[in-house]
Amino acid sequence: MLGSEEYTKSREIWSLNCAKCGKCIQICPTYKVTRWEHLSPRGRLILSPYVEDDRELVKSIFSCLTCGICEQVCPSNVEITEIIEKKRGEYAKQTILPERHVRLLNNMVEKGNPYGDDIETMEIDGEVDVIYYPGCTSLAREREIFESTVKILKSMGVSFGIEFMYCCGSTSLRIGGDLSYAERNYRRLREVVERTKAKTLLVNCPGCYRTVKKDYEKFGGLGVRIMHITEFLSENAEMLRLRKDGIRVSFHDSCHLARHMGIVKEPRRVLSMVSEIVEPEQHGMESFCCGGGGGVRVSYRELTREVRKVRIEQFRRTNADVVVTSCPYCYRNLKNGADGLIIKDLTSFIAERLEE
Amino acid sequence: MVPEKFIDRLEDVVGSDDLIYNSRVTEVYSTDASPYSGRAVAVVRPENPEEVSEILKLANHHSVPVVPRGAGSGTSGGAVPRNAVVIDMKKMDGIEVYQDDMIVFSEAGAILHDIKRSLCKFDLFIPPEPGSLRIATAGGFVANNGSGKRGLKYGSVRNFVAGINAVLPDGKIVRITYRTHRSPGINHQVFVGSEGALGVITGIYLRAIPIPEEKKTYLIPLKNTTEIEKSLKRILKVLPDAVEYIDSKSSSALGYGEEEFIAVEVFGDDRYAERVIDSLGGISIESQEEKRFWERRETLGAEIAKKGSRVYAGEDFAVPFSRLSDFIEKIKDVERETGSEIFVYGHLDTCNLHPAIVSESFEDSMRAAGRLADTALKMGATVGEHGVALRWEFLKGLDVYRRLKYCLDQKNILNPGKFGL
Repeated sequence: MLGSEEYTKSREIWSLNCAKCGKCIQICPTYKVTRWEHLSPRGRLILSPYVEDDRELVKSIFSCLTCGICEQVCPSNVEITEIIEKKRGEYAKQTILPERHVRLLNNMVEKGNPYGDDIETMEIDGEVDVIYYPGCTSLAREREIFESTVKILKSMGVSFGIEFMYCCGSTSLRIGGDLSYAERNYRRLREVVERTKAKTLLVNCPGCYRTVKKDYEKFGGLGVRIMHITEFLSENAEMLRLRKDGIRVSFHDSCHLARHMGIVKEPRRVLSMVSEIVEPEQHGMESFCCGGGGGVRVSYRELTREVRKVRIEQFRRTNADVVVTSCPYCYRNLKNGADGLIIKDLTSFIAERLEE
Repeated sequence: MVPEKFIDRLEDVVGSDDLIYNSRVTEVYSTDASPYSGRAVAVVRPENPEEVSEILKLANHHSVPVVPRGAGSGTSGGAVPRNAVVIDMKKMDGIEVYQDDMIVFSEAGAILHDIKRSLCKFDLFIPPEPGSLRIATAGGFVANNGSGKRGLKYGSVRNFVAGINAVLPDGKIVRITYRTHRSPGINHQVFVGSEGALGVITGIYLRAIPIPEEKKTYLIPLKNTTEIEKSLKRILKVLPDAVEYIDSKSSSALGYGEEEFIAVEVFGDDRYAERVIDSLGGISIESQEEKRFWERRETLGAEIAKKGSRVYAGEDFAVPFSRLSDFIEKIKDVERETGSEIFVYGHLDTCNLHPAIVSESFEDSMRAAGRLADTALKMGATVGEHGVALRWEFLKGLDVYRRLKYCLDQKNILNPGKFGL
């Protein structure tokens, strides 16, 4: 045995095949803005065996943006995001949570959505080709995304109906809440799919997209093609009649859309129909988080602000006229810290350029 | 336990935002990339040498042990504390390039890759490059006298240290500030390879050289390990810039087939080197392929760990050139006897090998590591570049070190427990 025995006590982290090389540290947004190792992926993994009511420990686990950039560079293929989400579940079970997370989970219990609002419900009557599921943020907070999407679909002549009864359950899942909200919406959507005989389910929000397409697999899948709006527009580009105005656009890849779901080319294909694309230094699968993901904006706003500042500076250096994203939550967050930059959601940007 | 009064005074120095105490998260700072873990009683983050000085004065006064920490990427446990206060240096990460002097000043917490990028803007670089380039800090690299590739032609980082700013254990700030490509005395060199036990390095003046206009990488396949010395002799005669060994398992992990090989890096347009490499069956790899090879070589150790949920231990042995193939064969014996899987790669130009052990349990990995260490010691090997730290059985001249340590750190507060002291 090498060295002194007290240094070699067994550690649970090794069961995660993390070599502790540290490659994930520098690239992590929360480390980048704090330079605290316990707010980095390696730090979080080292702390992952514990569930304790310790302020800094709770911050370590709940300040992960679940952006997944660490998994892009991890040579050992450690599934860090999944480990963190599971660990959050254990904290939630013991009701050890940051204060505002408790409020958010209560909103889910009382109102069925993370905002705690009475969001209007929408139901499809009859058969359609496409079910459009707008999600909570597009309906309750960034309504223009919902309205723009409807405008675009109508201009394309798509046979669609709008369905919204329940939240998809994404926020709850990402911050350690239970599966029940996701399962409730899964059952509802499966019933709607069967009733409307739709072939496609369309979503605006990458959080909904990941949850409906990936997490609902646990329940058996929906038996319908699930598409993000950027995928749908890219695939049906010939149905779009757009005015090209040569504006310089920089695109913000949402973590859930790019890294979690691999959608990178599609939004660029759509945007290149009307504008010139200038990339920020981190884009595509290496995109830098807006700072709002993983529930961090709820309880650790100072981290969200600092990470967002880094991202906004990356866009400022592109000298683009407009920054476009295709995530309602990223849109909302970037807009709040835009500092003079023009931020648009892709649907609004495209709807503004539809030929009459 | 550390006195509460001491913690209060620490807070006075750095403020509550840069102090962690009485929290589970100190465990993150109780380990590094080695298999070892200890206990950090508190973590403190200074922003300048004056704050480091105040921290050390306090620690010295209260006889509290302290351990300086860079990125925690060491594999010998150098940054692992034993009931000590950790001084996390990563907030001190300034870099300033003196282009005309071909010197870069770096604070201890700057990441090596950031230094590389800063120098690159002026067509300059520092040849020693560890696999942890994108992770390690300048302070940690110098404190371990690291090297990585290009060791034979350029030596370790010691050869590139022009001057050092450090704080002694009693809090005295020393500034040995040379901006020249030659500098006298051993004063600043005392801290190189001292592994944070003689003083806390706060800043380093490093010599840089111009980036070569051309650079080539060749891969030379080996039919069997026994021909390695013969081939190496011929390769070294052309004085290449870097020579790396990749065994068949590592080759497979990198996606280069099942054959072991030697990778050679040559700066400039060297026809003679090309002829010799060609006669050994070498092929050149270019542009993206070349970039990909060196990038993946950087993190080969961690790539190996992804083979199942197994325990990884990265080893480090500088072996006499005459025992090279013998040692590689012996590693295979250890592999057979212990049931662990051992990947072998390393810097062939300095005969510095890094056997990487993976096994099903911590105990199995440590048993294999112990067997390898015994074998290496019998062959006259020592540690290469990962530091001595908790592997002090390799350290010779301990008496010299003990006297030096006593002169500078009478209370033994700086990184105690390392080098066997």
